[in-house]
Amino acid sequence: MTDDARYEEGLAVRRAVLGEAHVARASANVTAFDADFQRFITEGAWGSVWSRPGFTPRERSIVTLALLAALGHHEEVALHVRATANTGATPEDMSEAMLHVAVYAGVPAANSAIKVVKQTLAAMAAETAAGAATEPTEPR
Amino acid sequence: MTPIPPTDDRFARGSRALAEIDGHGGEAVVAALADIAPDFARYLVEFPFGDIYCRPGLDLRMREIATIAALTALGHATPQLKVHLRAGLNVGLTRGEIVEVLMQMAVYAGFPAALNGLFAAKEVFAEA
Repeated sequence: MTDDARYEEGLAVRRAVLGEAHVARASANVTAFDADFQRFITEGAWGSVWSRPGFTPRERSIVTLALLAALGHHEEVALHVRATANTGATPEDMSEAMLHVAVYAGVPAANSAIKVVKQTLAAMAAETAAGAATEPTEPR
Repeated sequence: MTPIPPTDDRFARGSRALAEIDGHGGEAVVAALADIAPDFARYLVEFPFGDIYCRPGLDLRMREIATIAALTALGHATPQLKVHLRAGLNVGLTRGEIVEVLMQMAVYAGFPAALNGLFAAKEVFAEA
């Protein structure tokens, strides 16, 4: 695959996982400073790894969340909790994954990540409820 | 707690503390650094041992418990952990107390970190 094809494939997978709105926002914030970095993660993380067939998107979500929690990268934990709306990983999946984090990376790492997961799930639920209340109902 | 008065002889004080804590282990580290970074060897003696380990408030057994816990949790400092496992025995910690500290680290730093610490202790205990 050429680099351009990998970039295009990566962009498509990134949109599918993180959502149109997130990718549009991230792209709007790109400057000359991080343009190469954005291209690198789109090609590398999304075009080379996330686009592989070996794991389902749900499985990739679970593995990624466990790693981010173990490393203490909470902003990215929140981002990937939001992505579960698209990957199909469930709150039960995340709750199981956090048990593994506690065993291998320590209870404090799991404890603080669990807080972020719960806050993010609550925010997502509130947004869904607000959206449902304001969206015009389809004519039957 | 009363601060320790400043002294010009942090190195001498640190060397005495190092010898008391580590026996010959600390001396060997300082000697090993002599040809590559002698100033770093001096800092190593002056700051941790001349300033910190000499403070009142915790005895050397308690200080070694804290150090062994920290080095185990860091997970990337096995050579230094082994030095302090020997030092812990040297200042009067029992093998059982050291194993308790290492086991407790599984809760805060994860099982792999605690396991690596336990295997390091096994090696050190076998030497003694």
